[in-house]
Amino acid sequence: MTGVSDHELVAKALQGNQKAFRAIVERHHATAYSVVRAILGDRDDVEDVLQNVYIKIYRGLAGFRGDARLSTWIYQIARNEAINAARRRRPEAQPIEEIAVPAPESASPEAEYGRQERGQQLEKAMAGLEEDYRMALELRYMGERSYEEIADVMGLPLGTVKTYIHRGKAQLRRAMARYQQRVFERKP
Amino acid sequence: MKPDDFEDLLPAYMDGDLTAEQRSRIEAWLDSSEEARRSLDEYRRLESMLTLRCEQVPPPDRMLHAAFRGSLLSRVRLTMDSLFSFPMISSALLILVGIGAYLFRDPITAWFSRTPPVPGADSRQLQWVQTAIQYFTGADVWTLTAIYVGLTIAILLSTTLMLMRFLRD
Repeated sequence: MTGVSDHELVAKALQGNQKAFRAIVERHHATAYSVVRAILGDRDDVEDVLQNVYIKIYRGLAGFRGDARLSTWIYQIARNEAINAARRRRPEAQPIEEIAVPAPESASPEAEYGRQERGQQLEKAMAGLEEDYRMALELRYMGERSYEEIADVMGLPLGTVKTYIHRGKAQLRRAMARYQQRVFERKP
Repeated sequence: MKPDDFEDLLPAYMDGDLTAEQRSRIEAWLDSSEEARRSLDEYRRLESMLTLRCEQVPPPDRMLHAAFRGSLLSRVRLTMDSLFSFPMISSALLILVGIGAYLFRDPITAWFSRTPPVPGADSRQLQWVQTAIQYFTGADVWTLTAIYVGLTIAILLSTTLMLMRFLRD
């Protein structure tokens, strides 16, 4: 259902058209997923939370008045649901400064900097960011949203979103650099 | 500006979000400092790692399916799905064929044996059903039998088609 507006899809979904509801989910899945990931991190229950998000979207569709963008409404539902899930379980995020450096007894420094390893460190560094920075970055890269779309869904000025993303990247780079430094310091 | 300030401006520099003056200062810094160029490389590596994050988004199908498995919508869908599933429909059709065969057993037997049914020799069981059908449709037993046989063939054909589709899916 490409080319159909969000509001048309909502109207069709309310008439019982399940394809329309599916199209809504597919269109906003990346946004919802990145919002939940931004709050919960790489936890096992991310998909469980998203299931609840989709149920709430379905049940709440009749109450969606259309004065806000659908993406903003879905963002709010996903954010609230993820925050509730985070309260129910202890957070796993670590401050950036406390990212553990694995002991280099078996792997070479080159291997330590392998893509997978760096990916894991990036996840940990992301978890240590301030929530607003992490949210903006996840929407930008995981959700593949433009700066304007992020500003819309987060209800922030465009300049603020850019600042969040730039500062978030700066913090990530520093965290990754610190990690790299510690790996070299532990080199036997 | 301190080097840290320059470094923090690199993401905005990469996005083209700096003023002309800031841009020229950053470029001068990049030209003069090996460390600055290394920082820019690190940002580029970070950018490519972040860009790969979109690959971590799983398709929504599993979550949607799980979400509605326990919901009202899902229960309705599952009920409809099970009612209109191949085993249910084929069973219903076969039951209909069986009932029809029972109701019309005498004309069918006569039709296959090429002997007309003896008047009054029809089964008394459910004879009133035949009589009612004949009364309302105005058709004789032979016409009704032909219609029934035709319907049976159609049902068997559609059941076979459904079976093939079921096995293919």
